[in-house]
Amino acid sequence: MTAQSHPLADSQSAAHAAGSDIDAAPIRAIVSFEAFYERELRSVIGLAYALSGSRSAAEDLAQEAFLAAHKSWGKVGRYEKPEAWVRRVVANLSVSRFRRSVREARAMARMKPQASYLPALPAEDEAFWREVRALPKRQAQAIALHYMEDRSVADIAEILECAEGTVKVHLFKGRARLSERLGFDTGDQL
Amino acid sequence: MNPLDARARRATSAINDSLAMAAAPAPFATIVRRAIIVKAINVAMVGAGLVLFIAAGAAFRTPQPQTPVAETVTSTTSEAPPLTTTLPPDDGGSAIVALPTATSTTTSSQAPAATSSTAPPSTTTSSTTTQAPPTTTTKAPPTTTTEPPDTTPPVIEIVFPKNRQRFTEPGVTFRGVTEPGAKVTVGKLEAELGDAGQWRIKLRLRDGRNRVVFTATDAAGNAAQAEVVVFYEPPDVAAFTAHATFGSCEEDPPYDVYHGTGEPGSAVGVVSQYGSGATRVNAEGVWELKVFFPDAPPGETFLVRAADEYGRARTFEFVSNAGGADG
Repeated sequence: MTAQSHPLADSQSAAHAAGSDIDAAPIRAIVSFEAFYERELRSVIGLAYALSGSRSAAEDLAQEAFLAAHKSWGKVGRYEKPEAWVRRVVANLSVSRFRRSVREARAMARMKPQASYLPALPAEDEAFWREVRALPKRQAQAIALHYMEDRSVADIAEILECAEGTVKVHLFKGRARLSERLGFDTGDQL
Repeated sequence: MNPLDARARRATSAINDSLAMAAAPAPFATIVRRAIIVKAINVAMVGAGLVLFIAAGAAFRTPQPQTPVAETVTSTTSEAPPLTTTLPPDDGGSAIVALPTATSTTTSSQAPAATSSTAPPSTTTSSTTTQAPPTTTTKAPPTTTTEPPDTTPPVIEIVFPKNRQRFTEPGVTFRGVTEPGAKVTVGKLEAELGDAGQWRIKLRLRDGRNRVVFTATDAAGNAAQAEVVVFYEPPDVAAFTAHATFGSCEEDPPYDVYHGTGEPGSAVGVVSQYGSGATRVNAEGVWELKVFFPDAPPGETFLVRAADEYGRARTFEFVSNAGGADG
C-alpha cells in the first residue's frame, strides 16, 4: 500500500495577510530628488526606448515617470529602492500601445530642433528589440530589465511586483520565444 | 554565452551607445515647466472645445413652438460605485463579504428638473434641458477628442495571496498591481490604489472555497480581469484525513477505495488524470469513496489527490497491475 500522510501542502495563512500592507515603507532619509533624477534618467530612458521602440516617446515616457515620482517624492523617496518604483512606472507606461502613441505624437508636436532625442539603432539591434516588444507584456518587461540593466531575478521581481518564480517563468518563456523567432537553436542552454 | 545572450548584449550596447551619443537630457526644472505648459494648453483646448460645442448645439437646435427659452445646463458627474458589504455568490457556490475598510467619495452635481446625465469616469458630458414640453430632454453627444480610442486593456496581477492558498482567519488583504491610473474592483467594491498602480483590498472570506475575481478598468473603460481561488478553514472545522486502501489493483478496470474523516456535510473530491469521484462526509464525520481508473496504463504510477472543500488535501500514488503488469 502506497498511501502516505502528507503534511498540509500550503499552510501559509493569516500571518501573511496580517503583514500584507503595500505602503508600509520603512522610515528612512529622503535622498535628493535632483540627484536621483540625474543618476537614473539615462538608464530609465534606455528602458523606455527598449520597451516602446520609439526614440521620440522614450524621453517623454521617462519624464512622465519622473514627474510622477517628483509628485509623490515625500513617499517614494523613502522607499528602499525608489529606482525600482520609477522603473515599474516606466515599464508599465511603455508597454501600453495607446499611451505610447499619444506620447509619440506629443513629442513630435513639440517641434524640437532635433528630430528625436536618441540616435537610431543599427537595423539588427532594432530588430532584436522589436521581437522583444512582440512578446507578451510581462515577458517583454522581464527580458528588457534582464538585458538592459543586468538585473537579477530578485530585482526584476521587486520592480514588477511579482514572485521570483513568476519572473523565472517570464524569462524562460520570453527567451525561448525570442530564440525561436530569431532563429537560434539554444538547446538546453535556456 | 549562448547566441541569444550574445545578440541581446549587442542590442543592449547599441541602446547604451545611442544614449551616450544623445544630447544631455533636459534638466528637471525644464521638464516641470514643460508639463505645466502642456497641462495649461490641454485645459485651454478642452475649454475652447466645450464652448464651441455648446455654441454649435445651440445653433443646430430645432426650434420648439411654445417654448419660451431653453435653459442650458452643463453638468459634470463623477460617479463612484456605491460601496456595499456583500457580494453575490460565485459560480462555485462560494462568496466573499467585504470588511468595511474601503472608503470612497462621490461627487455629483445634478441638473435640475429631475434630469441627470451619468458619464463614465473622467468624461465630461454636456446636457441641454428644454423645459416647455413636459419631460423633454435633449441629450447632446459626448465631447469629441482628436486622440485615437484606447482599446488596450490594462494589466492586472494578483500578488497576494497565491492561488489555492489557505487561511485560518477570514479577513484577508488581497493586493496586486495594475496600470497606474486604472481602478480595481471586486464586485461593487473598489480597491485602494497606490501611485504606481499597486492596489489592495481587505475582504472577508466565506467558509471553504472562495473564488475572487478582480477587474481593472482604465480611464478609457478598457477592462481586464484576474482571479484567484483561496480557502478559509474556520478554527472549529473537524480535521481532514484521507487514506488509500490499496495503492494498486490487478482487476480490470482498476480501482481504489479512499476513506477518511472530515467536517460533517462537507464535500470531498478525489481527482486523478485517469479517474475521479466526489462524495460528502457523513454525519459521523466519515467519508469513503471508490474510484475507478479505467484508462490507467498498466504499470504506470500516477498521482491521486483527495481534497475537501476547505482546500485540505492528501496525495497518493496508484498503479494499475491489470492484465498481469508488474510495475
